[in-house]
Amino acid sequence: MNKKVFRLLILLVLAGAILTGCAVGIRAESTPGLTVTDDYVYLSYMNSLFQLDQASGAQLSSFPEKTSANLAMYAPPVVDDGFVYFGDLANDFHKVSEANLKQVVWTFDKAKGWYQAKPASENGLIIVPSTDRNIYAVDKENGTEVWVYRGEYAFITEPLVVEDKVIVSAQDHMVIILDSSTGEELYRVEMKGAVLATPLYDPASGSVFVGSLGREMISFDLENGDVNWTYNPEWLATIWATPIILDNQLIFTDKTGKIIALDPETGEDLWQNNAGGTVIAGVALVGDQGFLVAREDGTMSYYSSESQSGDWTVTVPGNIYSKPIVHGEQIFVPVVKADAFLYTYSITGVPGWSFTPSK
Amino acid sequence: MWDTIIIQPFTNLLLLITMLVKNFGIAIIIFTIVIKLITYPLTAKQLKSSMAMQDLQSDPAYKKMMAKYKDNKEKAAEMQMKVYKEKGINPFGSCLPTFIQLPIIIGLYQAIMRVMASTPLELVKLERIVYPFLDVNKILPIQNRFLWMDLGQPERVWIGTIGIPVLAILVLATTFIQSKIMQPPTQENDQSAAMGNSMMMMMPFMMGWMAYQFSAGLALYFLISNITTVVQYAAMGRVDWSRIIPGVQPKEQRKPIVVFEDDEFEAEVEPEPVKTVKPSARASAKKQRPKMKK
Repeated sequence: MNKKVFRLLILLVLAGAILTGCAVGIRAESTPGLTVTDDYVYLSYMNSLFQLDQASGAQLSSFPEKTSANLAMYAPPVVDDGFVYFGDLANDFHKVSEANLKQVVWTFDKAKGWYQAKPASENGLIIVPSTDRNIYAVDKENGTEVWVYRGEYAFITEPLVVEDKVIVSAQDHMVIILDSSTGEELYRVEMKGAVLATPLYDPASGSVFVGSLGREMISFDLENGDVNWTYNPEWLATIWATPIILDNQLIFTDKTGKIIALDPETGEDLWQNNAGGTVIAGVALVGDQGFLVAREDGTMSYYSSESQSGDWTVTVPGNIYSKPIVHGEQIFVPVVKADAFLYTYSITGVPGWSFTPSK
Repeated sequence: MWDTIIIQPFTNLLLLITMLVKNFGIAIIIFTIVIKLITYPLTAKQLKSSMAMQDLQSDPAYKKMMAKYKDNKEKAAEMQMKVYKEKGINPFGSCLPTFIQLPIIIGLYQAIMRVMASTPLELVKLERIVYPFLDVNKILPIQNRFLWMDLGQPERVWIGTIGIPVLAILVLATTFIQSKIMQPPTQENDQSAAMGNSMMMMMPFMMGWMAYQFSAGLALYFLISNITTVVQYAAMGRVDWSRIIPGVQPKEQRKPIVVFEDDEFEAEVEPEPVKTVKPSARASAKKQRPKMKK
């Protein structure tokens, strides 16, 4: 072969490899999606949705039948009545059997965008946000579209259903409240930055608490959308995660690792602490005694509501971007850039099983 | 290092343009054109160098010289280097600008990918590389909608349940046009050129396939990049439209940049050894014999 042609061929192959290597296959980088039930752990990450035994971490089942480089899933599933509901990055939303994940009941394929957030289940409907700027309500039984809400930007956050209302965080600095049976927009609350955290609803006060990248935490009345208070001191950084309520304290973290406790009624400062590093995953409630703060670098600390300081700390071998889930006596921590996809600990910080998919 | 020098400035420039024009699609178009204009001197140098090389290689005298030394590669290389030196041709002149441009092209591509962050993790990473003077709150969310496209998704125009990849088709067409009009003229029976041509024909399909697979934002970048390249070549008077538009008169032969003169070649080439034949005894006798006067 002529040298020139050979060089051209090499150049073409190199160009193809550089470009395709960067973008073909899984086209988005995201964090593992985790759902824990009494019996099983569901982990959606990369090319599969895994079903694991909750006690031992043994892999019981997975979806799909045959993995593909063009199929990725990151959205945590919803498990209800023996079925598992989840979406993927090939724009499909599935209902599969809990007994065998490969047994597909229906697939909803009307969205033109990815599913990255956990859906909500309410009154026979699955309410699922898509990056095609729509929120779909799908009939749980047959997978048909019941209503669709058309927004302005991609929806990437889990919706929160409270009675007849759906609360949706939107990237266009809005929290949108929809009627859960029709999808009609009831009202919206404007914030100063993109809202990437699912709001928290407090049934006792009827208030919703939500933070944004606009360096603020707000409380509003779910009934009418009236803002109760806004917390936005100069030093506050961006807020990426959902707050918790513990002992009548609203607790949340900002990106720089500040742990802030406010009076949920007035928004006044109660106390502050510092996790000592970047926090994206936020805080996770541990029973009614304390909470966990998981730093991006894998350092996870337990804080009791009494001491307000770290009682114990473990180092998880990976980066933490998803909120750990506390179920019973176990803590489940999904990680990225680690040997395993998931690590478990007891609520006293003793390491348990970890999960690495079988090849 | 790579991120700080290439990706971060590119990403921030792209974000700045997005903030100013309030549309990510228009920002990609402006950004691509700006980068193409910045790298234009390199493109021009590359083209000039490859044109000079083409002129030399199609010169009959040069070909004759190379044919002469086809069995003596060392000598051929020596002569070649001599000619390059005399004519001021840098044999790597067309490769070097490509190598300099390569990081820029990859950086451009990666900056577009970064800005099209569509997951919380990607947004965390994007926020981390935004310069402090660009307020992330004013940047996010990035409007991915441009014309009929969602720039974060592979582009399709839906007619019922059939999705037509219009952008991928446009990328294929413009890559084809680019290859066709910039292709050097080939001579008959030139096998290597024919192979080169078939490779050139593969390129549009490869680019079209990538545009089909990738998000529309990247496909848009491919399209604008192709169009800008054609415009740049046209501005240099290098484009022969007769190759793609039927009825257009072929372009007149341009004046070669490098002329390889036969005399120079002859001067360099060693004189051909004279064939010596031992004279016969009769011929020698004839030579020595005095000429008879008539």
